[in-house]
Amino acid sequence: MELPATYRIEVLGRLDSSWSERLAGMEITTTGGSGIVPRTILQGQVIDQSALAGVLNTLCDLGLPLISAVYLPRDNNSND
Amino acid sequence: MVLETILKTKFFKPNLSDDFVHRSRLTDKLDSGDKCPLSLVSAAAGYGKSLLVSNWLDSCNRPSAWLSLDEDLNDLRIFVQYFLYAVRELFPDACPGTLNLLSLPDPQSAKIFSAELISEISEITTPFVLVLDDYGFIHDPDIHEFMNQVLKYRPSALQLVVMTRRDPPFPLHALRAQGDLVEIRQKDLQFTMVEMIDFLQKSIGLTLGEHAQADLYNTVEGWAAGLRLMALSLQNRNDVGDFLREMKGDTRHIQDYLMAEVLSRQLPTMREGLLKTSILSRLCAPLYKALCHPSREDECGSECNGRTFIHNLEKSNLFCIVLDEHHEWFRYHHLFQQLLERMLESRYSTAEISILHDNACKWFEANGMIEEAFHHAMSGSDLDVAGKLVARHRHELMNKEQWHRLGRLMDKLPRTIIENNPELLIQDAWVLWNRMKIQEMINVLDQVEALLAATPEGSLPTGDIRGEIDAMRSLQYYLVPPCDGARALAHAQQAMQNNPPHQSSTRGMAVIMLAMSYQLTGNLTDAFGTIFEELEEKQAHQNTYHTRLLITLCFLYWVEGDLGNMKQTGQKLLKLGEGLHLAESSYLGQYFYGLSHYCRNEQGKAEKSLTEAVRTRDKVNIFNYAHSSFVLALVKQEQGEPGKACEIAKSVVHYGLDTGNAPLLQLAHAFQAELALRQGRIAEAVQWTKNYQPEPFATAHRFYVPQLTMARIFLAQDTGASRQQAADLLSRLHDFYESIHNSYCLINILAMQAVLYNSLGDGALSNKKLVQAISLAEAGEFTRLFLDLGSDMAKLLLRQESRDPASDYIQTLLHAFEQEGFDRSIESTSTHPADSTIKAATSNPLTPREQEIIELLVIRLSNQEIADRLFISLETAKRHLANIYRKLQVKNRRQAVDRAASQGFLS
Repeated sequence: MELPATYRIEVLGRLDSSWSERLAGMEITTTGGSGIVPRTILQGQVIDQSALAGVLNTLCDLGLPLISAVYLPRDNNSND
Repeated sequence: MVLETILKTKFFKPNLSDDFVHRSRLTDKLDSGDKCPLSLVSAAAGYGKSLLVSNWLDSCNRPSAWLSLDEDLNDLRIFVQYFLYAVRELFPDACPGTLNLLSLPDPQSAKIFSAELISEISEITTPFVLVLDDYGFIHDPDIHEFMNQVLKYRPSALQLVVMTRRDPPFPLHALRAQGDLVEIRQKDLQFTMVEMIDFLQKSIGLTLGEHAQADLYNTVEGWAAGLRLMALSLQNRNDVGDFLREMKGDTRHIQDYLMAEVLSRQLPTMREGLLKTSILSRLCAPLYKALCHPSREDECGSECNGRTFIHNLEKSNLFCIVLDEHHEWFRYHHLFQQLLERMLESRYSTAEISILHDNACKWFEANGMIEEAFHHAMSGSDLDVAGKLVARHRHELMNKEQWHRLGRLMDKLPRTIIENNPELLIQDAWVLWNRMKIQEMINVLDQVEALLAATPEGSLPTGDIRGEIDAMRSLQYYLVPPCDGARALAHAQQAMQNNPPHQSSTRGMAVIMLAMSYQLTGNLTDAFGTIFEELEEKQAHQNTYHTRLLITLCFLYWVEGDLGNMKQTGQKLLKLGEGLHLAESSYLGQYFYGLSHYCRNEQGKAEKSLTEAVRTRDKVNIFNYAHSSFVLALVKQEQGEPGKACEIAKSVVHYGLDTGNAPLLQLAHAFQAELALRQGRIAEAVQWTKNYQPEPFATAHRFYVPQLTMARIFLAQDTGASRQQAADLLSRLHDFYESIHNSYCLINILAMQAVLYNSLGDGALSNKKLVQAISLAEAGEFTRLFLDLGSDMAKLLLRQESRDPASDYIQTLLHAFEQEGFDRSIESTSTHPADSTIKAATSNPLTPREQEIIELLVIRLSNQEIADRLFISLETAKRHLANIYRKLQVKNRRQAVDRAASQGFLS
């Protein structure tokens, strides 16, 4: 797989966006609220597999159950 | 504190093989990292990370230290010790402050010494390199935080090199953007075509044609381990072109193919040895012999004693890593081991592999490595062996207080194995006790007894097991309401008979229960007598039994309300526990020491000990963890950190949820109500009382008692109905704790009753209760619990002071109230119906000596004149004046005279 690549990771629970720095700079958004179990989505470009493994590992250490991790193929229109 | 035994193998830098290819494009990059806070080498296994850094260090002219991390280092204190040791290897005089903090008997929090370490490393001026290998093994968030601090303060002399298979949770993104990161990643580590050609030339003297080069390069994709496998397979081969053409398919396929090739080039004995030892996470010559030549006698030649094998292994570049400087222990490269094991499974039958595990198990057990033995027993031919192994070593592990290890082993054993072996079943009961699962423990005890009844007499060493059952039955009658002191005592006496001295842990429980049962029945003489007598016995010294005796003393002192002795004994316990490397004993030492400080409102000292204690919860009895957490939360509350207090309480709740422990959860919820009350969330606290069932009451030899929370909430509600509820509950609690002679609970109850009866208008009864509370609390100098009752209690104490002006203790308490911001000159003038009759007498806060001095102020004497007149030093006179100003809330002597006159204090 060509790297760096963009991934979208979804976990159960809430994660403050200040964690972005320690999670390969991925963008963090949390959804859900009253009555709904919150979910957090991390999206962004990771340099290689060990960077991705680092992100997944940190999420695991934080006790946030993983829902999905998806490889997002490069957008045809984008320039990078 | 005692330094953990430093394992030298963790500081061993891997050696380079002769055919190593120096890659200056990478080492130059590392060279350029000397100005950056972090050099990161991040790639999957087999890309040559360690060898690259090792090679770079050889040419780097700065001093360097190497630290290989593993799972065992997941504890900030241990991590910092290794970090410190690595730095001091290079600079023996560096970081004296951190070293000192680590060795102090008075324990410091890990945060404090990690901060100290960073500041001391910053003082080093000689540039040096510290390499942390395999950081991916670290999960502890405290260690990540410590590393982030190091990166933030970036000690200028230090080049930190971190190697890992996955990126660590550091702010890499920001470091990268600021140019503060030197990175070597998988794509950098991949061999270039030129490097590959160089390597093949150097390692096997092979020169390939252009086509073959391209084929080979495309196949291994610059993967270092693959290239080495390739080199091993290509050695002395004529048909290189054919070989490369055959090697197609996916990575796994290629790996297996290469492995088969590599192995086919080894001598049969070597091949067999490699496959058989692939089940080991580390190996040495005797272990090789145990696996490959188990039946031969020791005197057989070097062929089968393993020396030849190890020698060939080292010589052949077969991915083996030396683990110590004597070259005794080795391990295979992880990837190589996986491949070997895969091959072992395809070439040997399951039964044959089981026998290998059986032999490994025997060897590890004989050499005292129980966990490794257990691991192999679980993969061996008969799971019963694993069970028997635990049974054989359980006392040894309990004697070392290694509850977490024992728990881990027990959790892995299948239930059927445990339930058919009384020794394992009784061990299960101990583990359940340790996890605060009392009802489950009782059920298992019933099960053990049933099993023993069904077992023919003499077929098992049941005497000792009966002794252990008795110890836990005693515990049951002591803990579970209705507390039955007589039965607890009878079982404890039996337990003392049947737990021999070498079982220092289970005998320790017997002696704790014996003394505590004596105490429960009001026989203090025998309670203390038992312990002091045992302490005199020689065989009780310097082992777990010794710490058990000190623990019992602490529990007794606590129930008796003797904080002074509890504190001293707690300190002794901590020292002894650390000296003997006993986690539980050290923990309890911290707990008792911290608790005594909390009760005397010395929050700083309490915080240090308790923070230290709460950190290591996984290694100790869950009761101890819960109660230490509760005290620590209250300490934080007093230190003005209510958020922290709530967090600590919540972590206990989570622990209860995670471990499915309902009683722990109930206790933690009660404690949350206590915090709600203290934080002014009365409605929340009251809500808890509606669902809480206070009875039956239970013995309390640890800190937190939920029934007292309930009484405090009723008291705080301050309605007619709630006062009645408080009165009822307190009087029942009083009767119960008086019947089991628990002074600590009684002091709390009496103090609350004093406040309660005052508010009900019964001054005489209030006074009687206060006098009782004071007389019980005085010897221990309890302060916090009085302060917790607020200004109502302060007023009662002021009233009492006038009746008993000579009491130092009341002065101490009042002084503590003042420190909390209670203003006695104002409070004392406010009239409460219940104490109107004695108002005039109570309102003067001055001591007789201060009274004398203020009279002298009236006649305008100077400080020196006052000192001369009263035959005291000038300093003393000034101190008295300061006290007078403080008490009267004035700033100078004229104001003092005016205030004293206006309040009628002057004669």
